[in-house]
Amino acid sequence: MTSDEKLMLAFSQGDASAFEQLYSRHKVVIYRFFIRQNLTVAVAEELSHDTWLKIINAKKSYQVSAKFTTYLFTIARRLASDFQQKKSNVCEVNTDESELSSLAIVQNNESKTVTQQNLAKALKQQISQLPFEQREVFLLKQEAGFSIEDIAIITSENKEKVKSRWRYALKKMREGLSFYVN
Amino acid sequence: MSIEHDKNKSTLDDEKFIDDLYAQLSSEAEGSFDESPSAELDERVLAAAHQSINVKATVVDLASNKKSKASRVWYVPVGIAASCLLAVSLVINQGGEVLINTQSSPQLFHQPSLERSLSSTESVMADKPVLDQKIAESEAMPMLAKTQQMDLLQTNKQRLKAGKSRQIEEKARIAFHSAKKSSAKKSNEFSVMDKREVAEIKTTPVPSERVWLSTSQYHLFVKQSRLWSAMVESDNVYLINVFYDGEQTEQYSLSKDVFNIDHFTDKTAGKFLFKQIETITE
Repeated sequence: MTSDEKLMLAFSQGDASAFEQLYSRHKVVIYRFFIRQNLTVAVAEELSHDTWLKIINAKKSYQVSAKFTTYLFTIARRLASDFQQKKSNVCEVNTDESELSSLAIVQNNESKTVTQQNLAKALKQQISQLPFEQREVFLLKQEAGFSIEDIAIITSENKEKVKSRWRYALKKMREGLSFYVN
Repeated sequence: MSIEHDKNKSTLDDEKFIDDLYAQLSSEAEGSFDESPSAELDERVLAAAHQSINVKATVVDLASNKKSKASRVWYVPVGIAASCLLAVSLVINQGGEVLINTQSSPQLFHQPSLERSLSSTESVMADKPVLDQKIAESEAMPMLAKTQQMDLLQTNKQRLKAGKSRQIEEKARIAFHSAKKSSAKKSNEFSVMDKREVAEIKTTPVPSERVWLSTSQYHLFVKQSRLWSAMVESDNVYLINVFYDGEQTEQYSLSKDVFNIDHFTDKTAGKFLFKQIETITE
């Protein structure tokens, strides 16, 4: 299989099919990164679109200095961060504590009939409850599959700080979802 | 150390817990957790990618077309520039003559002889002595700055020797116009005196080959301790030879209204200093 970096170089030289391959490989993970940021579908799609547009527009200046996915998520993360700074509550999916608690009560009452769909919903809501810094580390590690070192590069943060955020995120996720396992 | 170990152990447990949850979801809750972007987004992104490649090709084509077009029409700006240059030079030339012809104000009565000579035919304008006379007369005008006169005269002398009478005529014309502009306010004070001077100069028979000595040139020769010798004396004019470095000489005419030379005789063979010549006007 051709590497992402080679595909990107081929695209920069005018091979559109190389970009199609790249896009099909990473479109879902990028989209999920945004949709898990507690954003609406429309906003997540818009930010995904912007991310890929930046990749397209920067094709001439692309150089293989790191993994393509690191490059891709650096752009995506920056867009998400910018959006978080200027977003209004209108764009945010309303998942407050009370909704999550009510879901937990329902689950407790029907403990034997918990569906996997509810589990998925609870997991998403638990992710959305994380602070932005912990959430992005969690998503990059758990869903995008990056190492702590790669996340440190993407977020331009200290490795230890990233590790610490990862720990806190895991702890909160476990606390919020433990009743499903029990 | 043990705290760090506990931390790592706790983190590993949490990671295992979350991993199990994700594994469970991916195998059993298909569709509820695997979100994908819409087909519309796919189309938009892929269209943008294709367009970026096509736009690049279009830009290259446009650039090459532009270049070839530019190479074909190089003569257009050159032609425009040449036309402009020609038009400006014509306007400058014609402008001077029109100004002279329309000159009728009595306040500027002191200038007609200069104007007439400036607006005469090209052969006359190119004539070295007449041009020198014009310059000398223009220097006599009180409104022209003295420094400007000196510079002009020096420049004209040098250029005349090089045979560039046309350029000098242009220079004199420019000086004349600048003098006319600057003197417009003061001309009333001097008009009576200038009238008399011009009338006298007009009645004086001026040989076409004569070079008239101006007062500023006279002062320059005095300063340079230059020598002269007498040649001819008429009713209104002294004709002298001025000695330059080496054997080079030049003839100058001195108006008796301006200069006085005692004991002038054409039989005098000696050389004299310019300070022996008196200026009447001063």
